[in-house]
Formats: sequence, C-alpha cells, structure tokens
Amino acid sequence: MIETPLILAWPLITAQLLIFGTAAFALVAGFSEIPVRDGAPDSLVTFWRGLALVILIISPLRFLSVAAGMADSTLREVLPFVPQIIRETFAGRVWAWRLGVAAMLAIAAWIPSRRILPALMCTISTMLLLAQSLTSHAVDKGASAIAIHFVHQVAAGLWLGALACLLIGATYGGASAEWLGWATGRVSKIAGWSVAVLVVTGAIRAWYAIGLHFELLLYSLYGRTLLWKLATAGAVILIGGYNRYRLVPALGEASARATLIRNVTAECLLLGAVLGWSALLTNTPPPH
Amino acid sequence: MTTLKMCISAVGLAIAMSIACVASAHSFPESETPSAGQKVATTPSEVTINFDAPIEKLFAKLEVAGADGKNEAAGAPQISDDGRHLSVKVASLKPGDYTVKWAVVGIDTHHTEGSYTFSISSGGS
Repeated sequence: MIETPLILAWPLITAQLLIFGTAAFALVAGFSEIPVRDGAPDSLVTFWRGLALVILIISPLRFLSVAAGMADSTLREVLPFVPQIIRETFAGRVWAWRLGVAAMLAIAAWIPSRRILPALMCTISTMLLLAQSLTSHAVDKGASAIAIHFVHQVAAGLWLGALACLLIGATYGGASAEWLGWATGRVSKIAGWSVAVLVVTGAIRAWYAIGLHFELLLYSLYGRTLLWKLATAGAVILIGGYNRYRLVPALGEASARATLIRNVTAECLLLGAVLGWSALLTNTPPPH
Repeated sequence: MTTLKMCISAVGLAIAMSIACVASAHSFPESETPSAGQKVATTPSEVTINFDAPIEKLFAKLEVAGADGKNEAAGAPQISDDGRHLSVKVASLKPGDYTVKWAVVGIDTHHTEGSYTFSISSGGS
C-alpha cells in the first residue's frame, strides 16, 4: 500500500492553518489599521498570495496521492480512475470540492482591495479547514468527531497565525516597544484561548483514537507520534509562558524586544514541527 | 480567575460538541455472519461482515474460499446504505472449512484487511 507522502501533507496543513490564522488575526485585531510602517500589511498580502499558491499547487498532488493510496496503486496507475473515485467515494467528492476552494483562494488572494481581503482569506481558508476535517480520521466517528477536529484546527490556526503576524509585524513593521506592546497583548490572549481549546479538543481526539488504553501511547506508532507532538507543543507553551511573564513586562528594553522576536521565531518553527507530527498522524492508523 | 473561566468555557464547548462514544479508528469488523471460528450446521446463503465505521463500495472486496482456494462468492459484494455492512451471496457450500478474506477502504481513505474461517459440518445442506 502506498502511504500518502508526508512531504505533501505537511506543507498543505501548515499553509492552510497559516493563511486562516493570519487572516483571522488581521480581521479581528485590525492588523492593517495599526500605526506601523507601511510594510507589514503589504507583507501579509504577499504572504497570503504565496500560501494560496502553495495550496493550489499541492492540493491536486495530495489528492492524487490519497487516491493512489485508496486504490493501492501508483500515482500514474490511479490517474484513469480519478473521475470514478471523485464520483463514487466520499473522500473523492470532498476533494473535488476542496480543489475548487483552493482555486477560489488563489484567485481571491489577488483581489486588490485590502479592506475585504482578510475577510475573504479567512472565510475561504475556513472552508479548507472544514474539508481537511472531512478527509481526516475523524470522519469515521461522525459529526461530533468532525466538529472536534475542526475546532482543534481553528485553535491551532489562530495560535500559529497570531504568532506569525507578530513576527511579520516585528520584522517588516518595525519592532518598537509600542507596537510590540500592542501586538503581544493580543497574541497572548489569542494564544491562551487557543491552547485551552487545543488541550481539550486534543484530549478528546486522543480518546477517540486510543480510548482509555494509555499503554497504547507507548506501544503504538500512533501513540508515540502523539507523544512527540505533545512534547513539541509543550515546549512552545513553555516559551510562550516565558515571553508572556518575563519578556513582555520588560519590552522597554531593547534586549527584551530582540529576545522576544527570537523566541517568537522559535515558537513558529516549533509549531511547524508540531504540524509535522500532525501530518504524520494523518497518515498513521490509530491502534486497533 | 480569567484563566479558570477560559478553561471552563473551553471544556464546556468541547463536551457540548462531543456526544460520540469511544471507538477504535478505521473500519474494522465488529461482527460476522457466520462468525469467526463458528461451525454451522446449515449452509449460509450469504456471508456478512458488520464494520464499526463506513466503508467505500468502490474498493470493497469479499471472498469466501474453500479448501481448494476457489472463491465461492456468487456475484459482487454488496454494501448497505449506511456503508457498514458488507455482504456477498454464496453458492450452496459443501461441508468443510472456508476462509473469508476481506479488504476495504474506509471513508477516511485508509485500508484495512483481514481474514477468518468458519466451517460447515457434514450435516449441512
């Protein structure tokens, strides 16, 4: 059997969450309205366009990979059966819809209006997150599991997006104490809520996967991957806590601002690694 | 206090949304007819496997092989509307041991497969 390559799943999941999270932050926090140098909002638009292109290019490849996995064949062998898979399977129908949404996202990213762009990016990427949930392990368990998976993704996207916006703003919009003070307050609030939701929905998802058989955390590939994901996410939370309680009160000092930006970069990279574990989990059968 | 409220709200949200029971993932048999290892006195008209999650009809395979390895299934496997019951009609089976081989793709796109045996006693018809 051909497993769906991680090399396609990881960038797709990451791009979807980043575009959703940054657009949501821009929408809710009014990123384009803040009094910083003009570079930040434009950088965000360029960022969205890049992510939209990544999603547009990778989505069909990922679908082909999934279809090949279902048909237990190679990418080339499955090509003639793609229309049948789209017509006759649930995943095929969701993917057909998902590919259309990916195209819509790429078109919308080039709309010149800065006012409606965050709302458009947020809305369309939300549809992609829903499609992701509908093609996950959660679909086996019905509507409630899909809803939990979706909420988990939304929380992860908000967390990652808020940190990415902070990083983009600090890099392209100037890392003044005033701006960082404004941004870190919002990012901290979003991150706190997101982590709380992620802990709860993550626990429920783990319960769906392994029930109360905690030994499976150690004695199954799925369980061990989940533990690595938790450990990496735990490291991000520790860094976030240090930022919030040690660095933010000292933002008046240039060294604290520099350390904060460096730590936020590390958080973003570690969250990328968390998404790598998540992508691996999507391709790993939960223990039975 | 704010953190406590936040946690309670998140727990409430998740619990409110979660009404499903704990279950294993992917599509695996919950029960079979005839069941695994069962010795039946009469020839079954069909072999049925009930799965714990929906499966895709397009990729469902179900074979009933006798001792000589010949597939005794009469026609293509059928799937119920809810996608959880896979069955195939079988011809009149002679007494002996039979191996049921199944392979499915769940609606989560993942493969599962397996086999089990049942037997028909010499008094079967």
